[in-house]
Amino acid sequence: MTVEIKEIRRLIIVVLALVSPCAVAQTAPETQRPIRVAVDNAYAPFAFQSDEGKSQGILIDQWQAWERQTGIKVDIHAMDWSEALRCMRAGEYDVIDCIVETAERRAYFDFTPAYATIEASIYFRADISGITDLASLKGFPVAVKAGDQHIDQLKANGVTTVILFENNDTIIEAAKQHKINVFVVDDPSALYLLNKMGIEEEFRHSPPIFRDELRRAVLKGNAALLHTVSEGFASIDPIELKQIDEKWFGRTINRYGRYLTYAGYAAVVAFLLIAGLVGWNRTLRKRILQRTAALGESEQRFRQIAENIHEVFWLIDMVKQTTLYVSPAYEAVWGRTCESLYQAPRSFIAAIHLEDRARVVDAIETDREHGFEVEYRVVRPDGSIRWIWDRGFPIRDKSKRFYRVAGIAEDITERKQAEEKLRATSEQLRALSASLSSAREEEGTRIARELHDEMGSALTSLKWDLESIEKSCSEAGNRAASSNIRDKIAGMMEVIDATLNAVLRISSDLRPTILDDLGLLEAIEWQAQQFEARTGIACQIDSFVENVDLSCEKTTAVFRVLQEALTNVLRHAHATRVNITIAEEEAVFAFELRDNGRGITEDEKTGSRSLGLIGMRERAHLVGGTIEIIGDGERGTVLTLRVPIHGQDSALGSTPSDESLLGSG
Amino acid sequence: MRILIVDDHAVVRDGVKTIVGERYSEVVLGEASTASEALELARQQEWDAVILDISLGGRSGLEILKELKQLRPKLPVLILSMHSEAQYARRAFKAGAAGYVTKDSSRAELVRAINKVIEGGRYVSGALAEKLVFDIERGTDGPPHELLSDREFEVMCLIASGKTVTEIAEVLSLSDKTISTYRARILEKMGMKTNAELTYYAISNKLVAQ
Repeated sequence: MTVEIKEIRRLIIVVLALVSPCAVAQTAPETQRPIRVAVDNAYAPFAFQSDEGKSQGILIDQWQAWERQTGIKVDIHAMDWSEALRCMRAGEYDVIDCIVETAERRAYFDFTPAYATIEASIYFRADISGITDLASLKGFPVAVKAGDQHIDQLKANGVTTVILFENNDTIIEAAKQHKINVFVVDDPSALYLLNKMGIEEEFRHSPPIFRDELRRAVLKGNAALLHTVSEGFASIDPIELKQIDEKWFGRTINRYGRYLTYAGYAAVVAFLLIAGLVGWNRTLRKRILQRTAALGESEQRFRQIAENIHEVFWLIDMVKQTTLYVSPAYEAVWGRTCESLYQAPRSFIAAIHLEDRARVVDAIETDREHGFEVEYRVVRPDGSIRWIWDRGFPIRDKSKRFYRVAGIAEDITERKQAEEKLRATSEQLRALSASLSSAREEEGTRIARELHDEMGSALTSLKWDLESIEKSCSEAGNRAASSNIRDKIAGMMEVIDATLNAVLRISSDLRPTILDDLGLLEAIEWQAQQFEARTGIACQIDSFVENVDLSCEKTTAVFRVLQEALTNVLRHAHATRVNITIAEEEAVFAFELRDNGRGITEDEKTGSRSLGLIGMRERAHLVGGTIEIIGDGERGTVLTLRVPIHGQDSALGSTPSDESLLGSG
Repeated sequence: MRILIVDDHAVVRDGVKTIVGERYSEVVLGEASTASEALELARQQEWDAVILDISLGGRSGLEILKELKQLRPKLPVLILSMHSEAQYARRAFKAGAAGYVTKDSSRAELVRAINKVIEGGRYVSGALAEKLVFDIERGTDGPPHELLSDREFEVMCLIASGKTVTEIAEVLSLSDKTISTYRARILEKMGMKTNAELTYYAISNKLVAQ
């Protein structure tokens, strides 16, 4: 009965406290009545029973700290959770700890702020698969602690069979005994207990399906107590709280939990890493394949160029003095294997014709850093000779240092032979032309001489005879007859004079005898006088040469050039004056003809109608001379002919034939 | 009267013989058709005159003329030539000929020429005479600088204006040697000895600015 009375008294105080917070505030410190706190008896590590049956855990330690802090005595009562809830509602206790706020509970409890977050997962035997979340629990009997705030949610998600246990200890015990296979328990408790029971290997768990905040609660309306409780906990040194947490959490359950979390994270990271690497690897392989294909295609293109073009491509490392590449055409042109060149880069020089070698080496040495171009012959192993046109192009590395030479060598033997043939043909034509010209000149000279002397003399003789007859007639008696005859004779003499003049003119046109009789200088003077007399164009000669000793061919060439030049002046220059200067300078006979006409144009000089000029040049060339023609607009044209006084007449004989230098190939 | 006729054409020799024979009653005519024959005859016998064709086959008549003159310096030689060019005549006179007639001359002219040279005179065919006289005139009349060619005149003006040989050579694009030759020729033609004389002359005649 005393107990009952005590209980009633307590109840009255509580009711009073509820009705009048002031009264409680006033009375509580005075009475120093202990606060009764209800906790779960099997909610490790927050509150649970030691093997000796003593309550222990985070909450117990925290409340002891609270007690020290507030000076208010605390009585902790550990019991089954459902019992704790029931008694609390019944007002048997002041505070219930480790409670989760729910809508239902709010109707009769007031809650402190949350002090911890607890996750709950589905634990299932390791041989069961397919449980990942709430929905996948359907059909499984699920063990749950009685009074658990999650029971409703489980049922709402289709869990039909919920097996209620007094507390977490009994759930794990049942699990150990294979009485249950699936249970939902807060993670810290579950892990702690599974470990404790030694069956952690037998169970696996899903990702957390519930996340709850742990609070403390008082009966609804007991604001003063709620305040006291909250403030008391708030005033505890956080370090102390942390130490408490570490004492129960840190080294046992949480380490394991963290390990799992880290392992999970590590697994995820590893998975992502592996997946990433696999993906990257695949991309890389794809790109490598693409690049390889592109490179292959590029190399193939290069090869097709290098191996099918008849020119020889080569690449040389100047630092190491090695052959980096030579295209297969080398074998065809040089008659040596590419391999031999790779083996002995200097064999390239040994293959060059002895007469060209020094020149080629010099050209390459001198110009390799700027690029070079050189023609030479190579001697094949079988002794045949090919002409090569070789060009080198310098290559510089990133630091602009010259380090390689790329080149292309072309077999120009056929071209050389064609050139030589053309040259030979051209020389032959030139020789033929010269020979024709010379023959014509000789023929002309002969005919001119014959005409001049023979016919001239004959006509002279005839003329004198006629004069003699005429004289006889005039002395004879028959005047009438003689008059008739004398008229006829006079007529005949006119014919003879005209014929004689014609003969002399034709002869002179063919070849002026003066050239042979008196020499070049007087022939030039005579020609100039003739020109002036015939055309009215003043023609003056400045000669600084008393006599000149030129060969017959040269004399003819100079004289014919003069005639052609004067003809051009007459035809094209519209000049009124011509100045001829004759000089001898350093064994060269120089002849300059300057007119005051309109000046020859470039087109006239090179045009197809300038056959006269070509003829002049050809004549000059044949005697080793040169002709220079300068047209100067208003100031007329200057033609300068230079002929070496000594030396061979014909340019033909002095040209060495390259035929012997050409290979048989 | 002894006359040697040298010509490689028989018709001409015959013609000349006839003409000479008609003119001179007592005449001894010698004939030669080649140079060597002519020289041989000239060496062996005395002649009053030689009528010589300038265009002897083989050797130039001018060379024979020179040799004849060496052999017989006082022997008058009349050139009888097919060539009417003044150059031939001038050359012939230089080589010592006494007269020069062309073969298209009349018999009368030929006779006149022979007479003239035998008498110790000189003779030139009419048309040729004009050309030669023109040459001579060019050499004598007018102020000395008119003898100069255009180029010579140009060089003289440059010398007179104080330019050196090298400078003139540069201006005219000729060699130093040529300019020196010009200078020598100019001085010779002008009858002067020094550049100073030339300069004085040019300035006096207002050929160059002072």
